[in-house]
Formats: sequence, structure tokens, C-alpha cells
Amino acid sequence: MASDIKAQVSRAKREDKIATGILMAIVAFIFILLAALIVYIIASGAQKAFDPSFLTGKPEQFKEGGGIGPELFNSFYLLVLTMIISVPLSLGAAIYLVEYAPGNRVTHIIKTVIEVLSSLPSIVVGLFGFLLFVIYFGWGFSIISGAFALTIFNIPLLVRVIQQALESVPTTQRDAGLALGLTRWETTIHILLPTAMPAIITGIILSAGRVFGEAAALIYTAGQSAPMLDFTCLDFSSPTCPWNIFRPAETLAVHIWKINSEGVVPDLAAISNGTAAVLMICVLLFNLIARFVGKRVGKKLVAE
Amino acid sequence: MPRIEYERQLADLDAKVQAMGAHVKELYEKAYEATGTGRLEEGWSVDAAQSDNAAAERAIESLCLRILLRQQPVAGDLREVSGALKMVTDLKRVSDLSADVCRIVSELEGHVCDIQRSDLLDMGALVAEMLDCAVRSYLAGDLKLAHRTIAMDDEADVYYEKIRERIIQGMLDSQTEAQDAVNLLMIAKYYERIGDHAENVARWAEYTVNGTREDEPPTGVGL
Amino acid sequence: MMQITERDTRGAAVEAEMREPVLATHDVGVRYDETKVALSGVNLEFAAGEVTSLIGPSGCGKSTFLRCLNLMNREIPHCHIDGEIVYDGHNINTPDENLYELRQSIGMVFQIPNPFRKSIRDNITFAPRCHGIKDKKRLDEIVETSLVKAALWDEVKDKLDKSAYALSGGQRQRLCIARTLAMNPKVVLMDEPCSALDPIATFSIEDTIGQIAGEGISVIIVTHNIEQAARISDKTAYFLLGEVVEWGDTDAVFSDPKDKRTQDYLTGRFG
Repeated sequence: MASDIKAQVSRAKREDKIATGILMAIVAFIFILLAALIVYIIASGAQKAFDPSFLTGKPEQFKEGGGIGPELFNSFYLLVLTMIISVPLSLGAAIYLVEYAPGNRVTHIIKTVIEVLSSLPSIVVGLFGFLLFVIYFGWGFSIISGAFALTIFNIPLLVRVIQQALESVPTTQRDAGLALGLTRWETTIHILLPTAMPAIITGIILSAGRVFGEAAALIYTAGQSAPMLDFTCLDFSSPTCPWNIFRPAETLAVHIWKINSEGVVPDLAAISNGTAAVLMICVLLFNLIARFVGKRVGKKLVAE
Repeated sequence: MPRIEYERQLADLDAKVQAMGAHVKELYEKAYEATGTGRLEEGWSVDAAQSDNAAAERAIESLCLRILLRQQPVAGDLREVSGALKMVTDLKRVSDLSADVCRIVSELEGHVCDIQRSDLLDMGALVAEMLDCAVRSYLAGDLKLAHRTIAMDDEADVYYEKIRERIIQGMLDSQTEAQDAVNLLMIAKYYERIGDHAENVARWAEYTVNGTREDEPPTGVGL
Repeated sequence: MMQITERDTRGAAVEAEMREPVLATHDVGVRYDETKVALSGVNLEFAAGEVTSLIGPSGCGKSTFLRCLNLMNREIPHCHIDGEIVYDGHNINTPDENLYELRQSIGMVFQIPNPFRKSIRDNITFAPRCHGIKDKKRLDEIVETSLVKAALWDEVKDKLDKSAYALSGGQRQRLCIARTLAMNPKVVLMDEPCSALDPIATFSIEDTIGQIAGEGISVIIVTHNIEQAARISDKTAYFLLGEVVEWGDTDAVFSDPKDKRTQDYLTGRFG
């Protein structure tokens, strides 16, 4: 009897060890894979990525030494525009769904649709944007078409993130506001949103990373050409004006795709690597900023 | 400090017990004086004093019950409240016995012969001291005073025996009339019983302080 | 039989106006989804300066009833409140009652201390500012008087701009009480305000309750702690299966309950 138990215990211990070992091996494999990828991308692109002339220079069509200045600017400009459009929309939708929507079928269907949308392949979003914005609205390959396509791509994710952030605010906070004679709106704006803000900001910045690296949705909407930008130009209808939202704008991710698929420049590999490294560093920075800002905002809001 | 209401009630209880102790002592002193002078002070009512003390007892009782019901006292507080609840009964008995002494004295109309008067006064003085010590020991939680009170009770019993023998002797010698003799004996007996109640109060003081009563089941109390 | 006659010794002024109820319910009931009856036929009165305990087993409608009194149940879908709730001389259980005004004069404190994630000062000034008080001096006054009334001022006066979450559980709960007092309520509803607190913090909340009742506020408290009901309340109502079985002076209910079921519950011989 006693030896039975002993045997059982030692078997359980052995199984536990084996399971732990397997899990650790899996994690190590994933970690090494990702770390190797990051190190490889940054290492092979480092020379270019930290070269100011590469970062600000204009791309070349046929000879070597081209830069990614316009692409870098386009990526950020597009990102900002996308965020300006998608954050308020997502915020509104999420607040409605969490705080106001009656718990009925329609609400349930809306929530399901948003979930489905968030797993839509981005090339499908891009082709939809092409049909709607580029062709139907006649905006052509332009920043604004790209921004709207990215908005469609981004909204489901953002709504989910904000929804979760709002839902994680304890009901007691909501009750406290209402019991003090505040309206639902005042409670949401002044109590729930500030409390959920750290999570919301983190979510926004993380989604920014995703948007920043998106290529497929932009190929047929923002276009694949990067006209040289003239930062002194204030004519908003000129194609060289950087702020013109109706000009085509190739981003970093699209640039990588393009030079790899149809590029003819001799230093193709170096430029592609450098661009990838810049992209990677930006996304990494977004993540770090997201954590930092999230923590800071959290601390500030609870007045610690 | 937490439990403001509770603390206030306990303080209130303390004040009430103190006031009742003072009033009972006052009534006893009147009885003692009357034993000496043979009559009651003009314009002073035994009944009023006695019923005041009875009212005070009821007030303390209801306060104790209220504290027990509302505040669920434990430990020292529980002993204080339950001790007070018990000791006021003794104080009330002291009040009643003193009032009875007053009534008998006024009935005697000065028929207390000198020998017995001085004996009674000696005994009364001793009991007065016991009462004082007992009440003070209770209020201050003073064990020394309480022990002194308890020790004095034996002396009081000796006094009582002595007075009883003298009265019997007086009756045998036909110096004392039977009715007076009975009344005198009752006064002595009442003093003795007041002493017993004083001892009881001292025992409750002891209980309140250390949670035990250092006596066997109290014999002779309220005999 | 000895009688417990003495009343709580609070201010004489409060004593005088005690009998007039500020809040009363006539035949109040609550239904969910039209059919599920959670509460029925509750007739209670609450006077100024009085503390009323609502006791009873879990799920017997105490909290549901409490949430009727400031119409918090209106926030729950499919919840219907029947009957009349008379506050300040008129029935508030009507569709056109101004909830926001009502909830300022009938405050509520919850089971889990739920201060806002703001500074101590902002926790108190937040609602008054939303209701239109902007003057800085006036707001500072409100902060001080509310904290004093909630017996928290001395503990926090030097750290008003610290986070409310830097406070202990009991202090947080008193902050929540202060936040409610900032609206100058006539009635404060408390839903098991001490059940998440340790005994010392519980006693401090009980003192605060006594103090605000002394200010003439009618306090209605749901509690699972029978001893607590005995300690703090003037009146006690016993709820069982969605009905009030017994209601009366706490002394009477606890020393001589009229209903056998109350007796069983109080003595722990329930069920």
C-alpha cells in the first residue's frame, strides 16, 4: 500500500518534470526563433538604418544609394491620419456597446460582426478599399484612400481593445457615479474612461504598430509610388506637397514589398534590409512607448 | 478612538454606579445618625431616598442590559457590565436595610438604652467603613480595599454576636422590654446584613478586576 | 421583567424632529422580467437622524429594496419597481422623476469601498463640480466639512492630493461616505458597508454612521451582521423571502421579537 503511493508520487513527479521540460523547450524554441529573426533583421539592416542619408534620401529607380525619406514620412503621416479617423470612431462604438447597447440580439450580432472583421485578411480590406475609395469615390491612389482602408483594418481591433478596457473597470465604479446623481454620460466620460485610459492607450499604441507595418491593405489604396516631397510647398493640391492627402504615398512596408517584387536597383538587398530594420525598430519603439505611457498615465490618473 | 457610542455608555454606567453608591452611603449615614440620636432628621423622607435608590438601580440595570444587547461587551468590559449588574442589587439591598433601620429607630422613639447604643454605634461605624471601602474598591478596582472590606466582615459578625448576647441578657435581667429588645436585635441584624452586602460589593470588585471571586459560594448573604 | 427603556442619547434637536419620516414606502415590490417577484408589499418609514438596519438571510430582498430607494434598480434592464416611494412629500417612483437630483439627496455607499481613481480631494469635489459648483473656495469647504462629518479629516488633511487608493480599506469606505455627504443628502443608503473590512475598520465606520445620524441624516443600512445591527441602529427591519416580517425599535426587535421567524433568525436557529 505504502509502496504504491510512493510509486505514484514518484511517477507524478517524473511526469511533472517531463511536462515542464517540454514546455520550456517550446518556449525556448519560440524565443530563439523570434530573437534570431529580430537580431538578423536589425543586424543585416543596421548599416543602412542608422545612416541619416538613407533615412532622409530619396529613393532611386535604377542606380544604387537610394534612400527612404518619403516612405518614412508617408508611413508616419498615414499612421497619424488613420489614428485620427479610427480612434474616435472606435471609442464611440466601444462606449456604445459597453455602456448603452441593450443586451439583445442586435447588439450580439454587432459584436460578432466586429470579431469577424478583425480576422479579415488585410489584402481583402485593401481590395475593398480599392473598389470603394479609389474607384467609386474617385480618390485614386491616395493617402486618404489608404487611411480609410487602414481604418477599416484597424477599427475592429481597436473597438475590441477599448471594449475590454471599459469592461474591466469594476461595476462598482459605475454604480458610484450613478449613485452620486451623475448621468451615464458623465459617469462614462469622467470616471470610466480615465480609469480605462492606461489600457486604452496601450491598445492604441500597439494597434499603431500593426498599422505601421501593414502593406497588403495599402498596395491598392495608397499606391506604390513615392513622389519626391517638397517640405516647403504649402499648396495642398500639389502632388509634391507632403500634406496633400490626395497624393499617392508609398509606405515603408509597401516599399519593401515593391523593391523585392519589381525592384531593379543594384543595391536592392541592402535597401530592403535597411528598410526592414527601420520598420522593425519603429514597431519595437511603439511597443516600448506603449508600456511606458500606459504605466505613466495609470500612475498619473490614480494620483500616486 | 473607535466605538465612541460604546465608550460613552461605559462611562455613563460608571457615573451612574458612582452616583448610586454615594446616595446609598448617604442613606446609610442617616440611619447611623438616627441610631445615635434616636430620631430622624426633620423634613427628610426615608421613602423618597429609598425610592430614588430603587430608581437608580433600575436605571443601571437597564443600561447594563442595553450594553449587553447592543454592544456585545467581552473580556474586561463584560466583567465590568455583569459585575455592575450584580453589585447594584447589593447596593439596593443596603439602601432598603438602611431605610428599615431608620423606620425602626423612629418607632423606638428613643428607647435605646445606653449600653446597646454604644455597641450599635461601634458596629455601625465599622459597617460604615466597610460600605465606604467596598464602594471605593469597586469604583477604583482596588483589590487591597476589597480584601480589607472582606476581612472586616468577620469583625462585624463578632459585634453582632456580642450585641445579641447583651440583648438576651438584658431581657433576662428584665432591663429591656421585649418589644424594644426585638427592635434592637433587628437593627443589629440589619447592620450585620449591610456588612454582608458590602462584602458582596467588594467581591464583585474583585471579580471585575481579575475575573474570579475568591470565595466559595457566598454563604450567609441575604440570610 | 426588566425593561430596556433608555433611548440613544443623541442631540435633543435631532430627537425633536425624529418622528417625521423623510422617506416612506407603501407597498413597494420589485419584479424582474414581469414575472419573477424579488420583493413585495414593503411598508417602512425612515425618520431623520435615525439609523435603520435591514437584516435577513441572503437573497431575501434587502439590497434590492435598498436599491429601490434611490431608484438604482432603474439601471437594471427588465426590473420593475411597484408601489409608492414617498420622499420629501411626493412619490418618486414615477417615470418623470429626476433621477439625478434625487440621487444627490439620497446617497449610497456600497459593499466594496469604491473611491474613484483620483486624489482624495477630487473624489469629493468630483460630483459637486459635475453639478455645477466651480468656486475653488466653496469646493475646499465642501472637502473639509464632508471629511469632518465622515470622521476622516484628521487622518487625511495633510494628504488630500494623494491617491484615494493610498488609503486603507476602512479609510476608503469613509472617503466614500464623505463623497456622498458632499452632496448634502437627507438619506444615506449603505449596502453592507463593512463586510469587506476588518473589525477595527468596522468600528470606525460604525462611529461614522452614528455621527452622520447625529447630523440629522436618515441612515438605512443593509447588514448581515446581526450584532452590528444591534450596535448601531435605532430601528430594525427583518426581511425574509422578499417580505418584511418584522419592523420596530431595535431594542424591542432584539429583546422581544414579535414574530417566531425573527426570533429564530436572531438566535441562529434559522431554517
